[in-house]
Amino acid sequence: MTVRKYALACVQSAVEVIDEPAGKDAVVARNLERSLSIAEGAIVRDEARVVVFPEGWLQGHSHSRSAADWESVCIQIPGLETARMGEFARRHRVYLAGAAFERDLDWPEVWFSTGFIVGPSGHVELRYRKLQERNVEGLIPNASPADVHNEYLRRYGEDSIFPVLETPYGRLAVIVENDLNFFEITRIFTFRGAEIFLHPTAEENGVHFPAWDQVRRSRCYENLCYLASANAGEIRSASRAAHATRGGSTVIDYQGNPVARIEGAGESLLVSPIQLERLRRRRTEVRMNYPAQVKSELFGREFGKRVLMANDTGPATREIGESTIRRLQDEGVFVKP
Amino acid sequence: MITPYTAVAVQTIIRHVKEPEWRDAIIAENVNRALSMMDYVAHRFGAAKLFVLPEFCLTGAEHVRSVEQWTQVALRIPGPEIEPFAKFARDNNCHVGGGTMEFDPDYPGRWFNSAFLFGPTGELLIRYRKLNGADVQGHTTYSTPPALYDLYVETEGGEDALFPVVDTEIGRLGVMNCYDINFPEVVRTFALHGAEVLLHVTGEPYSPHREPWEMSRRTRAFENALYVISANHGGYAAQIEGATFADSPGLIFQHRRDGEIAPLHRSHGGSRVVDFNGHVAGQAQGPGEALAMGSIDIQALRERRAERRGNVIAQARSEIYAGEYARHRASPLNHWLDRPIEDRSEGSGNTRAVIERYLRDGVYAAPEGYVFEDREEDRKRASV
Repeated sequence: MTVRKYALACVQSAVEVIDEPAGKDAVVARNLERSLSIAEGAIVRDEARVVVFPEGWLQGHSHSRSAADWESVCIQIPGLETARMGEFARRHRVYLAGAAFERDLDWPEVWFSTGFIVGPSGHVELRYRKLQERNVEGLIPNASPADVHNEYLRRYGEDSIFPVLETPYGRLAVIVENDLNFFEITRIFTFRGAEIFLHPTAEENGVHFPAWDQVRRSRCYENLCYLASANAGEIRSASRAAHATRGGSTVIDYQGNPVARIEGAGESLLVSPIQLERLRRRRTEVRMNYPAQVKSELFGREFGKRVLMANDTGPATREIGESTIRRLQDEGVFVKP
Repeated sequence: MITPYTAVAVQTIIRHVKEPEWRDAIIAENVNRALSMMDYVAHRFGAAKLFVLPEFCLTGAEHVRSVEQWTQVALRIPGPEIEPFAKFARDNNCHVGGGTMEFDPDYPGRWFNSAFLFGPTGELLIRYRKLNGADVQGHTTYSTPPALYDLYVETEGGEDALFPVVDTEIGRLGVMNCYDINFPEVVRTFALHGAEVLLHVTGEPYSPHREPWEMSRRTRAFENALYVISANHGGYAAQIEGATFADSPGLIFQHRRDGEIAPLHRSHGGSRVVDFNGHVAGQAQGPGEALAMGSIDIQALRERRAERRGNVIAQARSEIYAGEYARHRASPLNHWLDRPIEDRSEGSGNTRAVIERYLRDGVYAAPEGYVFEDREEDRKRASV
């Protein structure tokens, strides 16, 4: 059975950062319980059926963490935290989505920023690893599935990079933070059936971020989809500014119009209607039906002519990011300043 | 190093060719008016290095005209009608780009919605044909290169002909038309061909789904770190009869008897210069005749593209994306290879058939009560 219309919630969490790895379990538990309590308000009061949490909302981002400390703050997915979320999701019959720093114990050499959905079954029903990771900017020493692409496909299968979850609340996909800026990702998920994009994000203040609000709308307009971005509302850390995050959690509809938005930062909650049946009706209209009109074969061919950031380099680094730019200058895509 | 220069989007009110016998007179009038606006820039502000005119800015777009009649009304590129723009470029040491409906005898029975760019020697630097539009949409009957892909690539001497980019003394320039801007793939491909400034010749009337086009401009500029200069119509004066137009004295608003309603300000205007961060650098605030001017700083753009942070192009996982695009079947190539599109309604049939294939394959989920049209002809064309 499919629901025609329902409520979705974004929890704009205040995130307590794990400043000392020894305190990890207590911090994660506090962040998780606090977020679930806030989510419960949206579920009980507004009948929210899908809830989105920010990227890194259990562990927090810390740019002074060593590589070893990053590894030690990772959780497993599935693991203790998703089991707790599963118990909550089963009790309330809801879907919970978020993104956390994750390490697969069977693959200890790499770790990911991982988006996931825990469903009313009580289990992790979707696991997506962030593709456009910021390791190439030197910000975080983790991996993208693209960095270890061959091994990734061998372990998890051909369809593991772009998973879509069929639910009574539409076909859900998760994209994480920077993934938003790569139109290919939302387009490919759309080709694979996605209707509602859940976007755990971690957006700070700064010159590059204001444009993301345009990008959100463009992604929805060009794919006739919903997008729900949950950003952190406050940072609690010895080493970071409390209002380093810009907040601004937002839900955009399939016409590219904002439906609901939190103005600014601070711990908060956003509940928005999702008109699933209207989205499906819109997708049957010919006019400006971009996913049905795009010349996929042509662009598959064009995009295949040039490698941008290469696959299978191993966990990417700032040096790889910079050498790719130099290579693109040498190849004439960019002009050296 | 390229020093910052001024670019101008020339937002004209277009006089529309309804009766083909008035073609030459009306084109001349549109050309002269555009040139006088461009002259004004030269006199008032001094040197501008780049001028951009709107889509089909010489003839307008008559949607219900036969293909045969269109091949008579449409222009050649290069050709005598647009030669005055080449002369302006030569006389003013600048680049001039714009859009026009085009007929090319290499493609009998077809016409294109095209764009041109003249350089400061008066030489034609770019001829571009709109890649996305009528033949999947149902407005009119022009052809697009993807619809006759095999023939087009063979005739034009290669796949790069679809995405021409020219390296000039004011940066690497490309031109595209109107609807193309809503396909991020088009602009990315231009960027991969080296484009730094994209001239967007456009014709954007008010309509229910067009508000987000403004977002498209800014998102495309941001995600590719390039300039977008959109020149839109400031108005659209329907030819009522002979030399009488919808904006002629005494006629404020006119319904044409064939049912095409033509309010003068049917376009929202709003021509723009958007910089490589996605910020608006210059704009016309609304419809009407206007000049939207902005400063283009190629050196700053090149520095931005050399930065590690937020370098979307250099970070894109292209090997994965290329594979996924190649695997998926959306709108096919070559759907008008066997014969040209003849009736404008055929274009929407192509998209309808892809939508219905999506509903069957589960790419889209069917809404309650959806009734399949299942037109044999369309299915054949869209499924390949």
